[in-house]
Amino acid sequence: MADSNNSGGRRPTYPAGTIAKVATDILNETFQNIIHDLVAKVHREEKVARMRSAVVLARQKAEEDAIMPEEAPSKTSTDTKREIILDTKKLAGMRMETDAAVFNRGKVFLKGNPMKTVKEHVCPDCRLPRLMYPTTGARSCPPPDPDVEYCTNVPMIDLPGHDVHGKLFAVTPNPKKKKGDRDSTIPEIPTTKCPICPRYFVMTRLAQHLERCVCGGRGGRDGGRNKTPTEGGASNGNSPSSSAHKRSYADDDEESPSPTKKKKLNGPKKGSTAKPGPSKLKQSFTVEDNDDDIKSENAD
Amino acid sequence: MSLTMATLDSVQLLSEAAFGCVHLAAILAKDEKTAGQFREQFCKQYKSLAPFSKTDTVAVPTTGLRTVESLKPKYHCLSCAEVCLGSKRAEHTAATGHVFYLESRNRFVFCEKCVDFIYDHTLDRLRGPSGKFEAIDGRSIWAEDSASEIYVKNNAHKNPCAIRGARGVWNMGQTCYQASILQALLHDPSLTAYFLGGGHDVHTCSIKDCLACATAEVFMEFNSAERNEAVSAAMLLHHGWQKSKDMAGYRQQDAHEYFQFLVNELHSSTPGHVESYEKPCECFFHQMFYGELRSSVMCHKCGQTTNTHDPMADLSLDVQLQHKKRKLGRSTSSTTGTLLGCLDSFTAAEDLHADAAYHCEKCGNTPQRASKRLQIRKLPVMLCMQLKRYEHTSNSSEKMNGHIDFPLSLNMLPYTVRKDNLPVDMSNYMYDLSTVIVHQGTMDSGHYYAYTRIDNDKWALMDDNKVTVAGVADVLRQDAYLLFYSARSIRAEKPKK
Repeated sequence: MADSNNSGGRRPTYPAGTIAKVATDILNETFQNIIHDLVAKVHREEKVARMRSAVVLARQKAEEDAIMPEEAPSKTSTDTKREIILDTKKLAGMRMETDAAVFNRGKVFLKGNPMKTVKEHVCPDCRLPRLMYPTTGARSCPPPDPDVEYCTNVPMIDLPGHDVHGKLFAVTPNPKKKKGDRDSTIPEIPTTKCPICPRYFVMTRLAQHLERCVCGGRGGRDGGRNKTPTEGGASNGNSPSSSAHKRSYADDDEESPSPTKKKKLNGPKKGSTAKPGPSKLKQSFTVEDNDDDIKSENAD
Repeated sequence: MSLTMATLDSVQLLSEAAFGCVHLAAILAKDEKTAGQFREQFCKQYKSLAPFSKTDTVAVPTTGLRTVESLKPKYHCLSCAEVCLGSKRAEHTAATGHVFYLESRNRFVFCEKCVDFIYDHTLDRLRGPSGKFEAIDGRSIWAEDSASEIYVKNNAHKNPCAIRGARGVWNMGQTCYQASILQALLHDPSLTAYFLGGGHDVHTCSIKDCLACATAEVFMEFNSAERNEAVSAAMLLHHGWQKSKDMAGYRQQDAHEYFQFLVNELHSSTPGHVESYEKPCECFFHQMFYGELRSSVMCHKCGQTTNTHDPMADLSLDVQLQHKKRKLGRSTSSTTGTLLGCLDSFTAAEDLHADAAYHCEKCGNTPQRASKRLQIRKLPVMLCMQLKRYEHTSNSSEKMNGHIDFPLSLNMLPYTVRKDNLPVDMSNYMYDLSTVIVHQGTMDSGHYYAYTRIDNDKWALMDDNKVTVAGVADVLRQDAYLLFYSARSIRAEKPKK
């Protein structure tokens, strides 16, 4: 590697012993070293990956032969959930050969140079071949064989508006749209439960709510259930915080159905911005309500 | 015989070839004596080729220049003392029958029979965590127990393979400071091992609003490879607010302050940590994040030097100084500031001007002119550096924009307190850039995002929940605010005074 001597034809030559000669020599060799190191690094990564691929394939082949027959009616039992029982005695004494490696008594030995004998990378975990290029976006390549299942650890996707997994960026859910109307291909920012109270919020608005919730937790410890009607969009000031706390009591009865309730309640509320419903408690689990809540806060 | 459990490590070994190549197998599998000799020779050569620092005492020949044949990588024969260039390797092998060489630049093994570099995992293990050679007999790991490893491998619950670590952290509303700092931590292998390996026991922890518990939760969610969308750090945010009034509330925070706060809290929620300055703390976070600074003050009159040692969780580097120098045209070097320049001026001796500032004990406690110098006494595993871009004057605060060059890898040796007489293996002082946090915006408001190294060589831009591909060139082009460097090799603590 990197030992091509004096190959550059256009390289100017200087008489030995001159500063110019020393300087060009140093410069040239420094460049060569930089290239040498870069190539060596890539070489190592590539060769180690291919060595592992050779080993994984040899091991896989050996293990397939050693699967206890009664436990494995079909050879494809690897993808079922059934426990695989290997005939360990058979495996320990087995010898098995592939193009690149020899499996012998539990160890795998390389045959020849994996840079020549191995053509593709195999994932050591799932034992499926790995894609070398992303399937879409910049520098993408279609999979070499469309019928083959590849390892799901794929190269990162570089596509504007998408993340490295090829997903579109999440958008803030639009409360005015019904579930059915929403474009299912565009992911929405999920909701999350407040660490203190049982309400759910769009992720990106949690901090804003939390601030009020934290203050409420300190101030309105005895703000009871009775305050319920003052909560919601109608009243502002200190009450939202205390009411937020109040909900943690209500939590006990209402806890489990909250995620499903959210969906159910969304329906009838759609299209109407009129918020004062009789049951503030239930409303509080909806994203929409939270939206209104914040709006009214801001208008405050 | 004790039952050896199939460890994660040994399960991983299942995908390693027994030897780097057939020719190496012939030597290492021959008999214990031959193999042992070869390993010994390898270790010796490997050690001797370590990138040692130049010492001040090395005599530079004054009579004429030393002749160096070539700067190119040299190949050290692993069977004899021969050192040759790549072009002469074949000759040596033909003449002597010696097959293996250690290449001088990367210390890789070259097999002349394969005519290629070979990578043998047992030899790699001998390199050990630098400095100490881990004497592992390659065979015993395999032998009879490999059956149980296969069993574990085939039946353990497997997460689907995924791009590791390419997940965002939700911005919960002005919490990008938290998201970006978390990204700097979440990709670190030591921290991941600590939190996933139960380093902080979430179930028995009795601390109220424990930040370590909340951080552990984020690490666990981040590493559960079932999903690849952003993770939520709501609990961490909440606990942080409970712990500190300064950090609390729906507003923007300084990412650097948050980092210090978080590290400090993680430290104090670790069982067995030591708060006092007298005793050295042995806790994990202390090793991980805290280095030690030596500040030495030298009296100009009597030459007496007094040292004080202080823990440091990060280095705050003054970029203003460089910036101003450039403005005044005093800096001759380059048009942009560099991190190395900042570190140089950070560790340079500086005169204490005010006459009353320093009272030398030796000179009868009289005020004396003195100079002060900061140097690093102990380096942390993860080194955070802040480029101080905010200038506070009496009536205004201003953010200094502009690029400061920073390297992908950094040799910290020149900035440490070192004994000048001994050559040191510089690979122990090498740090690799792991995260760059950028602040976009003005003094009062703005946005943080992080560039993070994923999978050794790939970089991703972590803008809250959005994770996109970034090139190395993109990363190095950023106007960084915080730089995180990780030690390339974690060395055992040297017991020294």
